[in-house]
Amino acid sequence: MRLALRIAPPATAVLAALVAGHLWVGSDLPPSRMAELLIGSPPETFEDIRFSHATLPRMALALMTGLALGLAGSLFQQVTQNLLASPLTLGAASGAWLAMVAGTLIAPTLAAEHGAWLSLLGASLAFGLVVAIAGLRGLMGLHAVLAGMAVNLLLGAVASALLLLKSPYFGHLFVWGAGDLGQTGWDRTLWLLPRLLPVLAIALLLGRGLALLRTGAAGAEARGMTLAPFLAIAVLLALALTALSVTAVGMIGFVGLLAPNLARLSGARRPVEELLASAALGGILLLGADLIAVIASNALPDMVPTGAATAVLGAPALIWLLGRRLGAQDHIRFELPPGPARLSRRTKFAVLLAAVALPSVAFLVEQNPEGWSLTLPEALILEFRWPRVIAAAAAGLGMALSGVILQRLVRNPLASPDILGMSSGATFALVGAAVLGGGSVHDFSAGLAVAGSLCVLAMLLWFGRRHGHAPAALALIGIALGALLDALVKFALAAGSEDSFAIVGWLGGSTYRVGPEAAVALALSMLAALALTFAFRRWLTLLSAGDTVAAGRGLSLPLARPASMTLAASIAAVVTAFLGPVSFVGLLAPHMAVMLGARRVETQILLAGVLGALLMTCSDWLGRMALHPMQLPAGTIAAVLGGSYFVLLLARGRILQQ
Amino acid sequence: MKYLRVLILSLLPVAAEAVTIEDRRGPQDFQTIPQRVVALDWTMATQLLDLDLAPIGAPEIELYRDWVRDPAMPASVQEIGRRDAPDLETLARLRPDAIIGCDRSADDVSSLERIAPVLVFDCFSARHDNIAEARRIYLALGALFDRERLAMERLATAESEIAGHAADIAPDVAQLGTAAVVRLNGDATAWVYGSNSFAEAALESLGLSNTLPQAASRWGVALRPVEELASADRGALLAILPHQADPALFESPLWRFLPAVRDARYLEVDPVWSYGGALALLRHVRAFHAALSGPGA
Repeated sequence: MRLALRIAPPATAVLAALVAGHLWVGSDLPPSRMAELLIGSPPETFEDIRFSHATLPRMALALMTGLALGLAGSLFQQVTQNLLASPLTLGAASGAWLAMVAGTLIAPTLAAEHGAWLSLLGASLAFGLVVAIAGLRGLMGLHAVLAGMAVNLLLGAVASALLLLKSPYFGHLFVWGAGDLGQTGWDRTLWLLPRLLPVLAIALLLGRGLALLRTGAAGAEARGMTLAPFLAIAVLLALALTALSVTAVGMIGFVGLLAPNLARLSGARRPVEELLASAALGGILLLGADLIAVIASNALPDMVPTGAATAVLGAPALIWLLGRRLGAQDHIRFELPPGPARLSRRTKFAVLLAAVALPSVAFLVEQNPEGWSLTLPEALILEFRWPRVIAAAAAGLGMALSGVILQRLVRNPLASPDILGMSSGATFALVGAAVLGGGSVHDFSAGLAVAGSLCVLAMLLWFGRRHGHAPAALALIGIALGALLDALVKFALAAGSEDSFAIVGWLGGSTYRVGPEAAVALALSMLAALALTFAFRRWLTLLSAGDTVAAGRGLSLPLARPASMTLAASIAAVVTAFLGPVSFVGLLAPHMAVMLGARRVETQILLAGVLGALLMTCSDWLGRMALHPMQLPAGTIAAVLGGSYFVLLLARGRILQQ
Repeated sequence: MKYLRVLILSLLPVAAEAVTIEDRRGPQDFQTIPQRVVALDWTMATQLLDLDLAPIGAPEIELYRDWVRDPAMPASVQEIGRRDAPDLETLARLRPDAIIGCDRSADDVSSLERIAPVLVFDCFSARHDNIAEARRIYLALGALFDRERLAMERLATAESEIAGHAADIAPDVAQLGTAAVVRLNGDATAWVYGSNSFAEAALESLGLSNTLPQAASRWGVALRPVEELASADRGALLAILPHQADPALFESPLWRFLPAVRDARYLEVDPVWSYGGALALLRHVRAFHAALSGPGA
């Protein structure tokens, strides 16, 4: 209660200021008329209606959605004991959104009538996948967030494939996907309120259980608490809150992540205090972000969706906030996923066979108007085909190398260049230039992409230095960048022009625009990268053994860490500059290599490189031929294949060993 | 000497048909009239179809039939894939004599040139007048296919038909004075047509000024919150079908209180494609005229 007394006055003051701001910007009525309307005077002019049916419900919805997201974030964070848990970082929000997008495209009436259930299903499935990848105990740490980011990438790939094939004439989906709070009446608000209140009430009853949970799982069970049903209820409530907010206003990032952290910062200690403070702060945060979106919409030619504003505010706030709290205390040892101790002869043979067969298929098997056929293509067609096959293989090799380095550096088998924001820098630079410069994403050069990557790398190194290059700090930058980028892309998409469509295509990571010279250049630079990574092999072995061991063996950590990080980021930057962002390959290839028995760094580098190249060759071929003549980006296919691989692993019960 | 005469003779019939077309990169020479032409986008597809030429290949034909409709895409036209990434192998198999497109990057053009001569025009840009440019491109294509006269005639006919429409609704126009053109989207946003769009040019040729002017942009359209439609306090508010709006929008108090809706100045326009070729202007005028003089008006 003392907390309430301390927080309430400033919070109320901020809230009042934001409400005043909204009324100032959103209505031209004098305050006396507003007061009349509030006490029930009938509206007469459009200005009256705008105040009572657009500005007021917009504020109410911002507060309620922010409250739901803040509460969901707090529940997720308390259940998982993880500062970085939130509807967005655990995949739940993207699951809900993809379910709604797919529903709207496939069964519009169903989606319109039962949107909330559909998005709850999507959120639950996505979260279930994250839990399955990270493992239940893994939810407590970096594992969960990395798995969540991977699931976000996967779902994002599926959504963008749908959009590419369905074209940009689902403009309303885009606006809503970017999280727009614009209202034309009280319907949404009145729909949300009765659904929100019971969830809120139940959540507040969980206080005692959450307090027990803090003593640790074992402690809670010793005091006679059955953990499983309690956790299930808490998580289900958080998922329901996520689904409700996504159904009501679309994708709003960051609020659920920031609010609980701000609540703790302002001194919320007991679980119920934390829940209440997070909810209140979530509402205030979203109301503030929405005010910025309204002001920006008035100033710019195109409307700015609220979700874009939350990310632009949220990313720096998150980095600042958590940057103060992340220690360099990180004594994780790198645990390889399970697998045989060495490569069996059978595995070697199978890989060799695939290395011959897949490229041959990529070159020779085609779909044309007559159907599938195996033909030696004529010279001109071959001229278009070989650069794409070579570029795909080289990109796969590069991303795999980058992944091996990062997984050993971060000491986490779920780390990868795309998840840690290594490709985001390049993407950010290109998409940003296209959005701000008002051109097509294809007009810009690879140089700009590399420059963007270098900026991110500099940021990572600077930020990492303050935290001894702790893995959590890396992951954090990755998340912040990824979400910022997402907001930028959604802002571009909301405009719904042909240029936005080009951006979606480029984000898939495609070999379409790699010409012969570029393909050769990319292949040569990736072979050089292979040689360099090989030269780093002793460092990588020591880095993954833990700081004490590494330092004991005479490895200079202040030198080795930034150097290997620079190598990993540069490789990813070059690939991104040529193809666009390629996700999942950097995560999967090193993982698969270990599961096949490549447990030493040297064999892992080689085998992961070969597997990455094969995975991309295969994805590129599928992208070129599966829906011929419609071209799907190789990176999108690789993400879908990668996601399926994870699901397959889960089905066979090969979950990551903690 | 003998050889030289043979050389000149062999050049003669070709020279008679040689034609030079000015595209984005400068003059492009064609020795013969291209017979097999691929259109890389819907804008160019409509430009060709309006010259009574069927391209042999075009992108996303199924969607074209939903969204563009007029001019109709013949059944013979082959699908070439996504409009931002047409399949080069399919293009090579079609063996075109010319590939025509809008606003392609230099790298894309150089790979297309390995298949056939390419014409690439700047169709949509914030730095020029999209409508004047569409006319210029239409005439250039007319010259290329030796249909200059047809192109001129079509433009002249369009102009006189537009003048006819304008004269026909002059009384209504005198009353209205202004109009705004939008596409409704979702439950709280609308695309509003402004400078550099066919919609605004069509309003102007009917003698109407745009009630909701938007700054010139590449596509001539801006996404705005639906409440801004209240600024259309006089004149007609034209919404181009198909709606992408939620049905709920039309039920909302905000919509019913919009000045244009309340005074019954809101009219729906039959589907018309906003990014077509030169004759798109006429199609917009026809559609607007029909809406303004229809039963709803």
